[in-house]
Amino acid sequence: MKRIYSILSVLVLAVGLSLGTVGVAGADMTPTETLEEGIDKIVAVLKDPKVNTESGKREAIEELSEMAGNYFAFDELTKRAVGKPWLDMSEGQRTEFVQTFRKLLELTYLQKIRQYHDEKVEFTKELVKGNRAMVLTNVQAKDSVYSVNYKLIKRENRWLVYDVIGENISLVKNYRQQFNEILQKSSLEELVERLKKKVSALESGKVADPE
Amino acid sequence: MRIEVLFAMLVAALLLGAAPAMAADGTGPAGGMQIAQFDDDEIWDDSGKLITEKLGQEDVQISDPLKGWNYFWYTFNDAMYHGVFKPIAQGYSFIIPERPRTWVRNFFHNLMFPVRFVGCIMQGKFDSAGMETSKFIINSTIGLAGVADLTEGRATVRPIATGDEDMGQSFGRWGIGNGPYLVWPFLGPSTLRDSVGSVGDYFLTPTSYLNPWYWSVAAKSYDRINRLTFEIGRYESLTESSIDPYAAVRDAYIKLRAKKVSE
Repeated sequence: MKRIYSILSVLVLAVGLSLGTVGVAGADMTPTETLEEGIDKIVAVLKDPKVNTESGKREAIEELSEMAGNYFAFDELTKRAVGKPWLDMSEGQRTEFVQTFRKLLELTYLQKIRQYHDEKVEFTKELVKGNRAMVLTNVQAKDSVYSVNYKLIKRENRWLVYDVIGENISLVKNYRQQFNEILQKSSLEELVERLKKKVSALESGKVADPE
Repeated sequence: MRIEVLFAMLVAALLLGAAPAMAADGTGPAGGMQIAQFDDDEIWDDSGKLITEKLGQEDVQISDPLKGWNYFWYTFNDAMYHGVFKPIAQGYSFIIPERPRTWVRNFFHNLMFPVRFVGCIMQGKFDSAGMETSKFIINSTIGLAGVADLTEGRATVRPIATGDEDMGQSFGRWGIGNGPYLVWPFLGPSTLRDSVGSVGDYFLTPTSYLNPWYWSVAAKSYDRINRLTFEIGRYESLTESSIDPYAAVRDAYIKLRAKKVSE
């Protein structure tokens, strides 16, 4: 009888635990929890020493690129990076722009990955208002601390990042400055052309860093 | 050497005089048109402060009336970086291990104490000024002329902001705006305000007084190359990810300085 009880209790505990984790992973994660989950996953990929090999790096990049969609709202990010001209763009132009821009970000930032060096992320503050949130963090690197802040938007019960601000430099605003600069002289079509050219150059490895 | 300083001051004075006219140029029709539509729905600014006034002052269009000059020197500096300074830094860091390079960095950092001290005083940060002074005394004596940074990472009795200040930041603290963006050959991005600040800092930099002048240039160049070995890759990650590197660097400079001024 006693054994049955203990087996039963273990079973209940197991079911409870698995339900619990499903519940957490499913919905209602706070912005900080979402980021923590994302950063933990990235760290798990980067801790693997295989990142240092050519094929391992490619695998890691693929893995991270797939993950990115779960943590970033690329359409929101692109819309804000483009700014006002977004209003003049057709649906087709917008989709194309989002795809090309995402490609550019992935190609440049993911190429930079290297093995994780025990950088510690400290979450200092979380601000939530309606479907917007901001999470402030400090990244402790080898000999200095960098501030990295995230802006998030809530969609279907999930928080997605739409801007990353490292040391006061906003990703969205930095690109907006660039797009503005180009749009002062060229048309929207030329800007998209330029983005595409940059992406294909990166893909063929022409701009590869010789480091 | 003095001629160089005079020249810098002359340029700065000229620019100061022309600043109001040029600043107006910066927000031409193109600048006005590009006002960010999607900032209207932002709740916080980039540092997490609640935006109380709509279209907060933080995203003001950067004034860049001297774009021709700036772009020319940006291209020149970029070529110099990739063609000369980066290869030298890479070769140097290949030969000299990291620890001695850290000693060199600490030595020059310690030597720049007057710039930081005056910057702290100008902003009324007497705590930070005091801390910088104690650091300078300790590192200059038992720290073997600043080679060892004995105070690094040590907790203070109460929290004191770092004393990483200069004259440009002090002017910013006093409410003086950036003025036009300016790129200088070899020295890189700056603004009118920070350029004037740099002239002041020049006189507070001990290595400026080395005689004859080429020793001064050599010492400063060596400091720059040595520091660069710790920063290789930072410039590249900004420029390679951008489709208009000039605008990307300009934005990054302005934002980084704004952060330093606010600290």
